[in-house]
Amino acid sequence: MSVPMAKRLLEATAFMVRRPKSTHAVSVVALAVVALAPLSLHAAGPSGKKHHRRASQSQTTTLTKSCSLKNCTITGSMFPTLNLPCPGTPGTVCTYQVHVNAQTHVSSMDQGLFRFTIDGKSASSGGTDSNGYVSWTSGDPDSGAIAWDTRSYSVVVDVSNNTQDEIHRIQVFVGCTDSDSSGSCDVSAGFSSMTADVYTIEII
Amino acid sequence: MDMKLLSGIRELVVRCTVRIVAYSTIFALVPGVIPVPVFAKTTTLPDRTYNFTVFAVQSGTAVASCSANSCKKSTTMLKTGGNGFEVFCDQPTCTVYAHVESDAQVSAGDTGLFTFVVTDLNGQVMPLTPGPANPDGSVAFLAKEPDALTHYGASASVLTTVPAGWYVVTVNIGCLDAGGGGCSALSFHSTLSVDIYSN
Repeated sequence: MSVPMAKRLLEATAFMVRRPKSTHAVSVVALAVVALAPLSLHAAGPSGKKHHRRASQSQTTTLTKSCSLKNCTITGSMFPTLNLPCPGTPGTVCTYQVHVNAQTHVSSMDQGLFRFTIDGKSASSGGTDSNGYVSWTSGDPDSGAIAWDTRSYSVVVDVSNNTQDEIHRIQVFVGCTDSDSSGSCDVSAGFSSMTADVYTIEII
Repeated sequence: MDMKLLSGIRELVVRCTVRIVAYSTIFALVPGVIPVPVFAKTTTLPDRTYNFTVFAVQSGTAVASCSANSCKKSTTMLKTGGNGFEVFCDQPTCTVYAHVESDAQVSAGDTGLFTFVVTDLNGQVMPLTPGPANPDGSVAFLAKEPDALTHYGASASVLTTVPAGWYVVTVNIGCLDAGGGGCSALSFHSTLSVDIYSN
């Protein structure tokens, strides 16, 4: 029971299908219509995120990074920068879902990290900390002895166009932090793959 | 030797051999001497048409804990719905695919759980078929890891079929005490994607 009973600060943010604010009455009517003629609602449904495009990368070369300073953090890019356009005029918003799956290894008791950036900025609104980091293990006394451990994570970020069909740059990093203050950490990524999916808002 | 007699002997040997093999197999299977082949229970859902996707992102900390022996506790980690956001099926039936990624962790020696809950607007919980999940929608992301509390990147997915209507998909994080004295589980960051397909 080492976890304190901290106050829960859950702020689950839902993106997507927005039910009209006028609401329950509307939804009751909608449900009745659905029950009577389900197929006829197709054009009258809510707006939703529609999958538009996917790009993928895979990596077969092992990447290893290390640092030798107390409490140090180091990262390395797992893949070449992925350029993926958001279709539309300036101001158009696309949702990017970036998913990584990798064989990972980190030194014992240290923290293994993924970092996600889009256009060079941290994907902090998409399910990471303010610097775009998410931890896939930390403080495991066995992690240094485990050759490979498969880990995954996804971020979901809304991106706005500044130009027509702007191409946005996606990067995924693997890293480690010397979280046990031993003076060093090392991290590796083996076979790795990533997908970046672009979603646009459309009427369902 | 007479060829006819030779042929008859050969046929007799073959028949006896076949019967010996057949009967010995049957008698071995009945008492369990030879294990009956066990096949994985796989459900295939072919030819769905993709409709749209709903996302939810957890940007705060979700904590579930309890202090009694063998206790079980869960709390909401991610939720579609609320503030007018819903999963919507505009076909007679739809397939819902929910996938969660999290940096979840659980107390040493205990079981960490993700629990998927799909409810309609009346709050009725929809069965998760085919899942895979336990009858209460739970999926263990880590069970009885003896080491001290650590972060573990974890993911899980379920599939289910729903009739036309509005739905809310919730993912709870929880723990089941296996080591005695209570348990705790928490998540700092997580994402949920819910794909809706027409059947």
